[in-house]
Amino acid sequence: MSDAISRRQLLVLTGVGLAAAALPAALPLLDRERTTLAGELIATLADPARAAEIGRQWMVSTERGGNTSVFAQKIAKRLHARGWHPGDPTDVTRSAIGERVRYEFRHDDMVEISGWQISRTEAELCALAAASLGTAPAETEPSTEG
Amino acid sequence: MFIDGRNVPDGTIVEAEVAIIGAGAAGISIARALRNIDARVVLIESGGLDFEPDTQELYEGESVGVPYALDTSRLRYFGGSTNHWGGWCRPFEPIDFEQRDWVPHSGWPINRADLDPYYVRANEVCQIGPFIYDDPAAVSEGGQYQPLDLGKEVMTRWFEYSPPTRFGWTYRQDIEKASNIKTYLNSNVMEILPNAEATKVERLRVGTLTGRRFEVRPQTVILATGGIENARMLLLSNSIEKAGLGNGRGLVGRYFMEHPHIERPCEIMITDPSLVAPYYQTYTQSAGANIRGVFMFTADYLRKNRRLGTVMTFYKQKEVRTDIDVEEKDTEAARDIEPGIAQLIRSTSSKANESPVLAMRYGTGCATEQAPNPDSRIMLSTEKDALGLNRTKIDWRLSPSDRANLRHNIEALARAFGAWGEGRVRIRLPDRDKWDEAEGWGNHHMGTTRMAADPRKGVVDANCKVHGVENLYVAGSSVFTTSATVNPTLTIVALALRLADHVQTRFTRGV
Ligand SMILES: Cc1cc2nc3c(=O)[nH]c(=O)nc-3n(C[C@H](O)[C@H](O)[C@H](O)COP(=O)(O)OP(=O)(O)OC[C@H]3O[C@@H](n4cnc5c(N)ncnc54)[C@H](O)[C@@H]3O)c2cc1C
Repeated sequence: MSDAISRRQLLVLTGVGLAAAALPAALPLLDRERTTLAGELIATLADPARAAEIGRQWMVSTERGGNTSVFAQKIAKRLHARGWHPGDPTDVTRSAIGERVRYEFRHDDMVEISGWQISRTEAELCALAAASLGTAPAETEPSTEG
Repeated sequence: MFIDGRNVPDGTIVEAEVAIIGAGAAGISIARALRNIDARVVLIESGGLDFEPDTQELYEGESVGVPYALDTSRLRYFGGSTNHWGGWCRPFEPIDFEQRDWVPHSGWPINRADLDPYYVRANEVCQIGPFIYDDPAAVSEGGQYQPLDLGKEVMTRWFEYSPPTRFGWTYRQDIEKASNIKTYLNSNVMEILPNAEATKVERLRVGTLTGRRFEVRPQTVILATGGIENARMLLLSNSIEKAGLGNGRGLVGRYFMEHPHIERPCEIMITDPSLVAPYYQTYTQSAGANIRGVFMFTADYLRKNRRLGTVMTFYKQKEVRTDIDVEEKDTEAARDIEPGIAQLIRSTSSKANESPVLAMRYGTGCATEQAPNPDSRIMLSTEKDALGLNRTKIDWRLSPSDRANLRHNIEALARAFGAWGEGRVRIRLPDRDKWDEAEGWGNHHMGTTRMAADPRKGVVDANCKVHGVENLYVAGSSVFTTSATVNPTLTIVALALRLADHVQTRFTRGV
């Protein structure tokens, strides 16, 4: 997909507080949206739409299900163990995810998508983006979160 | 003095203290080291000073295992295969010499420290410049170009380049002018003839393609005809020992090893190419040497994970951009998600990027160690060459476990780049049950007269002397017990210089 985000996607993104991440200058995040867990996590992504495509491919190739809540909770639990709390500023979240990602690489917790070796949390962040955007495979529960 | 064997009268007998068979990297290094000593040295070379197709044709043979080119992987004239080598040089790692319980048949009877002084001298012979292989400070240009911090499993190591030295051209005058060396060109050793007990070499039977036949009677013989031909020569020397000279235990020709090369086994994406020092990407002048940074695997990693080594090179391939035209776009799924992977790295490590250029994709190349395998071997074919000698039959074997090992090493590279933060790795090496075709190789012929202290386990001893034959030595990569990961010639030359010292000491002591 191209860089431009479609109107449909924008609506979905806005619904889960994603738009701020995708178009940081164009669309300020509402406080209410900022507080949703999935939104907070997705806000760390430099390009949620591309991340969603990675997530979709991962879910298809591993026949994995899951919805925003499942992925968000999993990631949050890992970050929590590193002292992160929901509501922390995005920079703090980003750096907590970064630390966790590097930790996973060091500990061989990687997943493979079309040959790319990424960390489990990265893959789940991508799956979270896919579930939020509604691009996750059909068997996945469509997200109503946010 | 150079003598054309084709002009030597039939039946001539040449007496010498030392005969060196073959004037390639090993033979020329030894002859140079023995120049002007108080001993007559005869250097016997199959070819002339230039390439001749009829002589080269003697290298043809049969390949019955993993398909292998016997002819194009070596050259048969003065200077040997250095007439077309690439000049990549690097000493072996200390672990390469060790007995590793996870690598059957590993363990040299010498260690890296035994070779250290000779590596320094070999560097000079190969005209390489300063010996700075393992010295990041020397190549960092005042701290400017630091190696990537890739953790505990992957390390940066540096190759240094020989110009590449064409041994025949560069050292021709040294050899020609040495008062004690006679070089017989266009002269093929056809058989090494020992005494009746096969414990001592007495004569070398020499022939030319024009039909001349003469003999050399040396006190000491050094066989330096290359990693395949050394085994063939011993197998052909079967007038007394029917299985071949030095082959009482059937080991000659076995354990043939190469360095399988895989083109682009993985790709590496890095957010910011300025983080990557120039020496990783191409030949780079630094501190008086021409260097190249590569990735290798640490001894701790190899030990802990019971792996064989791999060396990986790395070069700039393409920018990863968000604004690629649809037509330009690669349809491979991995390519479609490439900008997304770049953004994913940027999400947690670098700043998000304003520009459409997100990262740089690097291609890789690799050469990998193969475990010694007695069934991977050089034998004699029933076909005969123009001299009436049995041609070479090669049965190169590669094992699925060697391939699996390579994949595990690439996964370690992926871990290392991910943990560093600014890079990710895409593995392209397909999983296969078999490894019956080589995607490439290094033209490195190793292991066929392997070194071992125990005569039951190897053909030559720690001094490169053939077990059981008191005056026959072997020089070249055929003596390697294991193949290590890097190119062999620096080690061939180091071992050759060590052997020259040993032979010279024997003469000085009169033994
Ligand atoms: C294309 C290519 C690129 C390479 N690049 C590199 C590299 O970058 N780095 C590296 O380390 N290595 C490289 N190599 C390998 C390197 O060339 C060899 O390791 C090295 O030349 C081996 O030295 P040697 O003296 O054992 O054998 P050779 O150099 O092959 O010499 C053997 C000599 O013996 C002679 N001979 C053979 N049979 C007889 C006989 N019966 N009687 C008399 N003389 C005989 C031959 O004519 C020849 O001159 C490369 C090889 C090739 C083919």
